[in-house]
Formats: sequence, structure tokens, C-alpha cells
Amino acid sequence: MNAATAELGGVAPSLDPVSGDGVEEAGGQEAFAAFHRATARPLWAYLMRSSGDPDLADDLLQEAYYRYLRSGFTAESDAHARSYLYRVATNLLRDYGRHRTVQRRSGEVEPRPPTDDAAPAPQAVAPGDPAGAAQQRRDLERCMAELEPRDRRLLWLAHVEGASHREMAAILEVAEASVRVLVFRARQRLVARLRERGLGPEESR
Amino acid sequence: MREPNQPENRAMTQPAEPCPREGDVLHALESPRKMEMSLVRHVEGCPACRETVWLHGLLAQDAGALEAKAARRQAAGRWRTPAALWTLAHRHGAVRPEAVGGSVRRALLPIRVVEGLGGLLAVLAVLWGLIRGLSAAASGAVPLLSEWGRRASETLARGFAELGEALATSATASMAGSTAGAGSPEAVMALVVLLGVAALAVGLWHGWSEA
Repeated sequence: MNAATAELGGVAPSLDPVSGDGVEEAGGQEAFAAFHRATARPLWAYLMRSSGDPDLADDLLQEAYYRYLRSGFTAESDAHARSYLYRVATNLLRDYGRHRTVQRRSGEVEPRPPTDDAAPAPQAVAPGDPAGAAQQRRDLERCMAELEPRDRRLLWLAHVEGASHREMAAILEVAEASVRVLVFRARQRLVARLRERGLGPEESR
Repeated sequence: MREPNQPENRAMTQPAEPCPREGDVLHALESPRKMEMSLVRHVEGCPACRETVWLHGLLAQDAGALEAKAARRQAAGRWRTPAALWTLAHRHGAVRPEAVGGSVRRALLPIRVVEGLGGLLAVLAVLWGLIRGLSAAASGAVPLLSEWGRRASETLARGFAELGEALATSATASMAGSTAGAGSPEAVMALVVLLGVAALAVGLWHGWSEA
């Protein structure tokens, strides 16, 4: 998870939200701004793909940074800070998921209708075909949306964020030893759904 | 028996378990250097790794598109700026560790349990006092309020005195272990009442600060 935080120049944010010292506060604010620049867009992408709702991703993104600052957390390294931020964001996603479930059970909200009924049949994508690539992305989006929230997060952290098993275990609050198998199973479930849509490693050759 | 990397077998092959070299493959995909030939040959022959590489590419494309979308939303002013977030987070002063989620909440659980037990003790102390008062009234031996009130206040006063004495003694001569009076019923009752009041105060303060 170090590539995206390279902008921090290898310096830990060392955020101290309760510091009253003016110079330290200004330094902390600058470090936080750099940290935000390096992490906000990838984190939004994570929240968006996990929740499937861009407006919710906007809200949770800001809430995650707010809680990160309010927690009084002091990072040991940029990777540590980033991992902690993702953990806060994942907890927010989880809390929101529970809230939605309660609302749905009590009839306060209707479950979202599936939006892919009118989707065109998948076709083999030729290399360099932008329309085909967009269609493939839509298929992936729908298949990801069908997965369990934990599977979506596992796959995103493993493949997009390049998180280590230890980081994933800390972010998702699962045993480190089981991460490998959990990622494998999540990948199998996603690949099975993609195959149902005519996509797969063989078909894309 | 045909090898799994033969083209006619590819579509039929479903990996049954994670490949032990998956970590190497993911690492090679993340790093800018070229994948070693031995690893390339392994990926060709391993259905699990082939799926990993394929899915990795799909997800990377998706992430790129989403980050571009994120940039557009940020440019459109949908997010608070880092400076605004910083100001907002500092506006309320005190840090609230509860805000960070499950792990910290679990760490605070023992404190919550102690607070709860303190509250329970306070309730039990009040109930005990009520039962004493009611039983005194039922026996008809004494006028309820004046006699029971006098007894309770005397008992409590004696208990506090003994407790204070015991604490002072143990503080000055802790090595000697002289805790005379600490085990008497009055002192225990005084201690329970003190703990109950303290727990109630903590609970009220906590509730008020949460609100």
C-alpha cells in the first residue's frame, strides 16, 4: 500500500488532533493535507465499489477522515496511517450496512431493484475496444454488487490496494491466517458470476 | 492425463484451492519489474493464478475508472477540503476514542462492565435500604421514618468513620497490614454506598458527555 502514499515522501503523518501548539498544528495540518491528497481518491473508489452508491461514498469518505482525526491516532508509518484509515472506513461501511438491514427489516426502506435487467448480452472484448471495455466494467460492477460485502472488500484490498494479508486482517478484523483462503473463495465467487455472463480468463484471450 | 494448461481443458478447469505461488504472482503484478519467465510459465499452467492475473487486470481497470470519477467529484466540490475537515475535527476539543470503531469499543468493554457493575451495586444498596425500612415498618416496632432514618444515619456515620480510619491506617502502615474495622458490616455498607454514588456520578457524566 505504499505506492499511493509516496506523495507523503515516506514521512508519517504524525497527526496529533489535540495538539494546541501552533507550529505543530500547522505541520500536522500540512501532513494531513498531503495524506488526504494521497489517499482520498483510492479510498473513495474503495467505498464506492464496496457500497455501490457514489453519494454514500462521498459521505463516508468525509466521515472516515473526520473520525480518523478525532481518534487521536498517531501513525508509525505512512502504511500504518493508510491501513488505519481504511479500517475506520470499513467500520463505517459495516455500520451503514447494519443500519440499512434494520431499516429494511422494519420496512423503512425498500430494497434497491436490480438495475441490470436491460443490460445487453456480454460480448467478447477486443483489445483497444473502449465500448467493450466499458461493457466489461459494467459487468464487473454488477457481479461485484452481487457479492457479499466482505468479499468485495477482500478482493479490492488484495487486487487494487495491494494490501498484505496482515493489513487486510487488521482492516477487515479477520484472522490473518484465514485471509488467503477468504480471498481465494471470494475470487471464485466473482469469477463464477463473471463466467455466467460469458466472461472469463479463457474468453478474454 | 491432460495437463490443465492445454487449451481444450482451460474452460473446464476450476481451481480447488489457492495456489501457493499466488503471493509471488500478486507481488510481480504490483511491482514494475517484468515477471520472471518461470513465473510466467507457472501462471500459464495454473488455473488459480490465471484467474488471479485476469481478475487483477479487470479490477485495476475498474479502479482507474473509479479514481477518475473520484477526481471529478472532488473537482466539483462534493468533498470537504482537508483544511475544512481539520477545522471541523478540532472544533469539539476532546477526542472520542469510541469514534474509531469496533476494536476500540471492544477495548473499552471492561470499563463499561465495571461501570455497569457499579450501577448495579448502587441499585442493590438502595433496594437493601428500602427492604430494611419496610421490614421495620412491618414489624411495627418503631415509627418508620424517624427510627429507621436515625439508625441508617448512625450506621452510615459509623461505617464512614471506620472506613476512613481503616484507609488512613492502611495508608500510613500499609506494610504492617493493619486494617482494623475494614471488615465490619458498617464499613462495607459505607464502601458500597460510596462506590454506588461514584458509579452513578460516572454514569451520569458519561451519558451527559455522550449527549
